Amino acid sequence: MGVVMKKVIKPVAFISLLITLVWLLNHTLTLKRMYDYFEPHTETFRGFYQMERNTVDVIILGSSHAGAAYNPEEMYKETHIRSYNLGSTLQKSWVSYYWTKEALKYQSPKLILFDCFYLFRNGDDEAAARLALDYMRMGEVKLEALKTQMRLYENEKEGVENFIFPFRRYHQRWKELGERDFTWVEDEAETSVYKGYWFYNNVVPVETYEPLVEEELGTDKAKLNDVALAWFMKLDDLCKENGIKLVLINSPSAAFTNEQHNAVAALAADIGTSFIDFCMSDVDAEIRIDKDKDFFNTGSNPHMNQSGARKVSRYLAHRIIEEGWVEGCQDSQWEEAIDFSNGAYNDFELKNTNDFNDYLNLLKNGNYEIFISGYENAKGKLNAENLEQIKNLNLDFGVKEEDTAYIAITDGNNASFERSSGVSEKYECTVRGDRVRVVMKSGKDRAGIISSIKINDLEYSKNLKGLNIVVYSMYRHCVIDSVNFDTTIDEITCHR
Amino acid sequence: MTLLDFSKISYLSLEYFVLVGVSLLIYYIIGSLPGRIRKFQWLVLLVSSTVFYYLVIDREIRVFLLFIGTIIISYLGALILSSTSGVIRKVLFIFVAVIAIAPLMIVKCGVLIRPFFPKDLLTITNFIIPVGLSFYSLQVYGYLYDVYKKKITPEKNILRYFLFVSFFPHIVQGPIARYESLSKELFCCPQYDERKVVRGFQLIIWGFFLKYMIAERAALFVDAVFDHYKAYLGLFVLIAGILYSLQLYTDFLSCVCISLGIAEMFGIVLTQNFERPYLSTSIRDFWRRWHISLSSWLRDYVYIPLGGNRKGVIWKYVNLMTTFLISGIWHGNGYRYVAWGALHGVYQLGGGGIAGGLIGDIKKSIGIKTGSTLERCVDRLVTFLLVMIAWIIFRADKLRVGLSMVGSIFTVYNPWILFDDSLLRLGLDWKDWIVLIASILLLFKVEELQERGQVIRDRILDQPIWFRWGTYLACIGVVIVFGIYGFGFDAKAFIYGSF
Repeated sequence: MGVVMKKVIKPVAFISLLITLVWLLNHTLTLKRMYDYFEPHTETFRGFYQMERNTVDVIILGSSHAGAAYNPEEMYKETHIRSYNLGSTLQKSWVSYYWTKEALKYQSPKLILFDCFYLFRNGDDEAAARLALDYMRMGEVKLEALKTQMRLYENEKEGVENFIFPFRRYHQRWKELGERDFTWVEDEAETSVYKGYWFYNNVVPVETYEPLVEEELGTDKAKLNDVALAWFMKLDDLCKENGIKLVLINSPSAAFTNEQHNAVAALAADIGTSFIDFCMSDVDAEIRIDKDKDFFNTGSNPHMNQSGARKVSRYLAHRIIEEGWVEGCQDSQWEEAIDFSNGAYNDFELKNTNDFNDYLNLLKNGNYEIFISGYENAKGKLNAENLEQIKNLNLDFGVKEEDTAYIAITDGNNASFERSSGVSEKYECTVRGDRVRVVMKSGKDRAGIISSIKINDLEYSKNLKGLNIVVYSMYRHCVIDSVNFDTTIDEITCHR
Repeated sequence: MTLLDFSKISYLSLEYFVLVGVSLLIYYIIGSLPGRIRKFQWLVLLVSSTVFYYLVIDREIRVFLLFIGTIIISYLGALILSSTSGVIRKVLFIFVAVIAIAPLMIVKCGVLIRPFFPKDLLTITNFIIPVGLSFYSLQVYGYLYDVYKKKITPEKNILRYFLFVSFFPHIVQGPIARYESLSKELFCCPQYDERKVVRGFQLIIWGFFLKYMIAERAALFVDAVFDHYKAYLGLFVLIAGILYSLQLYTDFLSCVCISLGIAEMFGIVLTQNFERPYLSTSIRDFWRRWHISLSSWLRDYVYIPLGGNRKGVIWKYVNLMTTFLISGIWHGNGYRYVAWGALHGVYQLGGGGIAGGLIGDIKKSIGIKTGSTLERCVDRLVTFLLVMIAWIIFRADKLRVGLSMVGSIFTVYNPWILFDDSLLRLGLDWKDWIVLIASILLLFKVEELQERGQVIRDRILDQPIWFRWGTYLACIGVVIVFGIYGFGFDAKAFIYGSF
């Protein structure tokens, strides 16, 4: 036994510990962007693996346009469609193909919605392709995908270990490791509530957005990218082999042309399927995209924000039912995430509301920690209705005429701290399980009057006259809004 | 698709360690069998070495044939040598030795002999440089010389001789082995000894630490300065010179540690190649500690055969200079390498004889007592600076560039770069600098303990298992997290592998 112990068991035990260490470091160093507002990439793919087997009926594929436009929770709320968005940044059709192959190991979808934006390009963005594969589980499909990736980008000499052991690619991340890099185990459960959708909150008007008109389409067709088309045809074959309906979709875009529409429509006809183009005027007439409110960014390829995505997703949910592609089905996995989805929409509205009363009303969501710091006299010219709204947040707001300092912390239902005075106020605390440091100041300071709200040592306060409000989301683990309402003038003005 | 791609095997690749792991397993399984089978244990090393060499030369059959040709010629030459005498023996030795090291001579002297040969011929020779040529050629020459001088009897079994030349842990980058000592180790048929395996493992971890924590990190700054030498002058050059001195040392030492560690896992002890060279108190002391296997080879097969110090002071100096010039030429094909060797020759002449008395007088005049700690510190510092200046010439693109860079240290005044964040914009940010400096301090602490005669590896081995394993895992974790390697960096090659 002693000899066996020395020669076999000890080396095996040590190698096991070593493998565990490497596994831990792999996870710790891998890039995490789930809580980022801009392109959470494929970290939400982790959530896909948490879905019960054979419960996802619809899978959505495509680039960032897909990630931003199709919200599975919104679709579920409308018609109980059980879908998951597997879109990712600059997703090429070969990535869509391999993710479908991977998805089929766990789910038996009846419908695949393929956003056509990347049929016109294959792209040379190797990093995005890598990111799309980071969270795919190791197995035959991933190895095959990596081989394709290395062949397409001619980086075969780099070695597959850079892909299989993400720490080799991300080891420089030790300089930027943050809380989430050490809490990925507890965050695991949260990955599935997103259902792969990217919650974009910004609103940017897109003046150039005009729906395509049927009569003006003509007959010219844009050229589809050869590589993208070849992989799409493989995807079509894969769907046919598995009895899955493949439908082409296109999210609202200011850059989509008549020729591109014709090319995709022809492709859909060739493979005997449908093409839902949200750029078409007949669809637009139903969803009513508002070019001033429904886009997240401008430029050559604008994306939907939550408002636009809500319209698109609702339409899609009904269309799927009407076409009879999939039937609705109640499922607790989508049911339980509705609150999160509603909360995220509340974030969107909050960030885009300038009216003082409306803003305070939205703060009662219960998902926020709200930090308020006054500059000069916070009460200023607030009227009775305003004061009532403040008190709805469970704040006394006993600010006197002569007070120049005011600090309050509330979650909308309970105030954990509130104080005002004529000199200065300072308060420090931690929130969210002592993980977030908060230091607030209001009133006279050595440099004059100040209104400061520092969260994890970063200044978020606008430091302007009136009330400075910083909203921290307990769901998203970050500050989602910082705003100033100038209460010292007759008409309360919002500054962002 | 498989995880392993043996076409890109190197001493730092996963594929190499898989090869080592499999070889170790078979090696010790055979080692546990009865004596008549166990005596063939070395065949495992032979197969591994052949496979490794074939893979490391990228399956280039012409290179492999050149390598085998060198082995066969030297093997047969040594056998014939042993049965001859007199002038024939001498002529035969010269003939076989010249053939055996001809590829090395052509490669190393290319720039010097270029005017005398057609251009196309040198192009062809560049095309077929075998991996490890600089190291195995010296090994083969040493073997032939020892047979010629009757210090050893030639090996009868060509497979055993093949293993001596091709032993995979040291074929690419040394240490340069002697047949007399290595043959005893290779064919001793050791049984599994956990302590030896773990000691080897410790050396491998240390090797990776040196490579990824110091050498590759320092290289980021060094390359930034040396690649833009017209823009970075003065203090930049001094700092880059210091870092290059450390980069070169830790890079070479890391490869040697990995080689020694793997050999030790097989129960084979290779000769040490370094004895803390930057703690040297003179240039002569430095050469006793730096690349010991090369220094001793040059001493035994060049300096002493030339006459050493037996023919008077003048000839001693001539022989010293000749030896250092050969050392420079061995390191590379370029005038800067010759200049580097010559500079070290001059250092030796100056420090050891011509200026030796003067240096002593200067020390005495400024109150440095002989044998004091202060004297040792000053000597170490001066020695390091002299070595560093030579390394700058060695590292520069051309001899002219090297000389101008060294000159700028003394002529360009720019001390503000230490304070205006200039140093943080050349590949290393402040976090990198902290890791680099902490790693270098750790290296010197370890060397200081070694200098006092402490064997740290044994001290760790004497600790309880939780401490030992915790230490190993922590070290591996630190290297994985803080090391410079992987995507975006090219840490696959060792500097000395290209000499």
